[in-house]
Amino acid sequence: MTKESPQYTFLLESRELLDEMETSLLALENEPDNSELINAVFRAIHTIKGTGGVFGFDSIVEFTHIAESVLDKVRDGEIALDSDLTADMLKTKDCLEVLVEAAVDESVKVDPALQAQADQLAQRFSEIIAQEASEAGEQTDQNAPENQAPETASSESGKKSPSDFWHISLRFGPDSLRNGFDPASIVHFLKQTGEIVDLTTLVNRIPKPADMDPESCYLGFEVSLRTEAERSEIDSAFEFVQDDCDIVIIPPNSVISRYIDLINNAPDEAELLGEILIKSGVLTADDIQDALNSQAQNELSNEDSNSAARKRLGEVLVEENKVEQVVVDAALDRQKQVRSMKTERKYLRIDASKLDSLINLVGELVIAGAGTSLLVKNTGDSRLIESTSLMSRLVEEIRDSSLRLRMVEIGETFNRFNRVVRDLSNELGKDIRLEIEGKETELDKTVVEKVGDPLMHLVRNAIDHGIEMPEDRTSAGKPAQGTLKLNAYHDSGNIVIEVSDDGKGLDKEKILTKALEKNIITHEQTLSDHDIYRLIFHPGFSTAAAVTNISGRGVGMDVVKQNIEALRGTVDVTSEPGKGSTISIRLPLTLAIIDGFLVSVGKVSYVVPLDMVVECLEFTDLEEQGLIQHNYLNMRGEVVPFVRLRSLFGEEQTSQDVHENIIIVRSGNLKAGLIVDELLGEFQTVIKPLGRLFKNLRSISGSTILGSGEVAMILDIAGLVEQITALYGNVNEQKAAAAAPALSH
Amino acid sequence: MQIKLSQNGDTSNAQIEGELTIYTATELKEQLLQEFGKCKQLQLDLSGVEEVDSAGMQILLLVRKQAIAEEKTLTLSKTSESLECYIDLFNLWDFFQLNVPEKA
Repeated sequence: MTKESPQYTFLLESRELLDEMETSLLALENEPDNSELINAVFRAIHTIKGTGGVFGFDSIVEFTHIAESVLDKVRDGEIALDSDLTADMLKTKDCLEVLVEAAVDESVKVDPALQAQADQLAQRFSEIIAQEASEAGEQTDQNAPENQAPETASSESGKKSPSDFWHISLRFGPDSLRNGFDPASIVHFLKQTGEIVDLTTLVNRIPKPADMDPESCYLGFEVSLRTEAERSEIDSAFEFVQDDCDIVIIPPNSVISRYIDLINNAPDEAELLGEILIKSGVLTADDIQDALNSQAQNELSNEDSNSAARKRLGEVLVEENKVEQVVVDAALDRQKQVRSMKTERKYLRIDASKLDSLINLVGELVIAGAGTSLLVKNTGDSRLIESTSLMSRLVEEIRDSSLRLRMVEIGETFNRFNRVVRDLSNELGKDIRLEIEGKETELDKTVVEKVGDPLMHLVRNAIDHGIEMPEDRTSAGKPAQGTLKLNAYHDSGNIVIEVSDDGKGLDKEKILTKALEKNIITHEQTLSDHDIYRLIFHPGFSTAAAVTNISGRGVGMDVVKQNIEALRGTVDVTSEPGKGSTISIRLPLTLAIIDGFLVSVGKVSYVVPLDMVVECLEFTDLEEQGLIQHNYLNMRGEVVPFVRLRSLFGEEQTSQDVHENIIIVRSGNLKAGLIVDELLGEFQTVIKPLGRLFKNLRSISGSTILGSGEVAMILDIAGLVEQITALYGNVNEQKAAAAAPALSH
Repeated sequence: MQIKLSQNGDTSNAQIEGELTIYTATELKEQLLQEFGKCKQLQLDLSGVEEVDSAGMQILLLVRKQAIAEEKTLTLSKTSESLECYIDLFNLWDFFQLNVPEKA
């Protein structure tokens, strides 16, 4: 199976549909009567069944068919979607995910346990249908199909059409002809497949001569076909036109609702409704004549739009008891949905590796561009300089938009947790609501993929250990329902993801005891609350004794931290006893290119990520004003520790009369100063990762190539700031007051 | 494609030869509609039509619709074999007021 093959597309589409199905099922728990949601679930299963059939994946068709039958009854209001059924449907989704993958990719084997579960589900669904059918009793009995033609919708409910032929409705898209496709070939193919009982060429879509484009296609056909062919054989005729052609294929002996769907989905052909119904054999000519007559009378009294007329006919049919209300309702709902679906799906699927190679090239382009700009500046030719500056602006825009291609909304990742929260809280007997904020926050796709597992860990932790049992919560004076909140937002070039709960908070004493036990801290150390909470991220803090079947508080927190740090991010925790805790993850937006600030020390250049630069000051000036004391700077009353990059990197002193500058950088809520020689300004930095040899370097996160071909190191500001505050203490936390007297004399 | 036009009172005759396809559809549409605007009856001699496709058929359908809308008369006085194939495929005998030929 290659990524281009239709089977692969089927796999991807199925995954999307199943995700949608899960989301809808969960939403249905809150609003059980939302027919749109039920339809979405139905549609997912229905589409997978249909496409699966085209590829001949019989196991999938079988399984989805029975689930679809149940859902169809749910849709028609004959079966209630209770919590048991919802749970079964969720399991169905899980099973299907694997079954589809196994069907598409032969190397994937279905776990026997899962297969057993699928069989069990199918069994239960058949029972549900059998039960419902026996309750419905005689009415449906007389319509029960006796000789099942292949693909008859035997288990679908409702009055069935007596017609024994396929009904195919075709509307060709305007570009069909231009794309070199002749609708006649389809008709020709159908003619070979079986006997065309009836065919109507629809000319109503051909516009007035003035508006008609001779090269556009306006044709449509309604075909009744009698054939022994399988569904897939008929489908294969439409393989190449599916994209720009509306096709509806209704198997023999289908339920009435499917014909009603067909009619209502063909908005321009209201006047043909009668004919089509007769042709489909759903209603008799007399029924239709009556309905049309009364509609015509209505129309005289009320000149209305086409759509209103269509709706009226639906009403008329119901009034005269020709079609059950549910059928029409379902048809109308369906119609709305088809429309909304069309607007939703406007995506282009691209292989991620193609995108990566584009971004790589853009990276090279940025470097090459920087080189050219440098050379051009040296020539002093103003026209050349102007044209290159225009070009570099465009390159910058290309860089930004190509990086944006990789950006995806985090919402999808968050939505996955609806299910986790639901399942886990049920398992533990807790009542937990998931609140999601900042769904639309975008970040790099690779980051999204890698952040999923740590997030899962944090969410499970919060559910298992953070949020208390309902009775404990009520006795603590809190609402019985706990809240877990996922939040994402942008903050100075980073994305912050927060997982917070309103549970009991971290237990300071327990953490301290355990940390002492594990020799992570000593008795002499005095730690702030924040430092104590942070101990949970310490490797070796977790213990096997604390593991429950879900998670142990602290278990694997160091793994979470490692994973996040591998993405150049940081994790932090805040907690308040009795009120809950929040874990925040701070991640860079992208991993490939950053806006950098170029500085130099001696002959070596360094890049500081621009987002982290707070401000730049002239060091000598500050010294003269007496704002410098030891390794601290008094910045408008705020005490900021600083370090000389020269001494940090063991650079030799070149000359005495260098005017040193200090750049203030920020990481999280910590600030620190770095003393450098020269400030060289902004620089687009393509990050080249360091080799494995330099893996343990603390202050450098990568390298880049300057326009001149020289190599510049990218400073790991988060690491540096941490190092500096560790060296000199976090003065701001110890209050500026303590340091202020020292600075005053 | 070649169209030979002749007029006889209210009736125009158009003799069309060659191909009625997407390549000639634009020209066919213009000429036929222009001629139809001048007369009350249009007779088409299509016996010389060698090649047809759906785009060509569509123009004939357009003219036929126009005839119905303006209460004029369009007659397909003569048809070629390839055209009949299409008319049969699309089941348009009635629409063009033609007699369904006896099938062999």
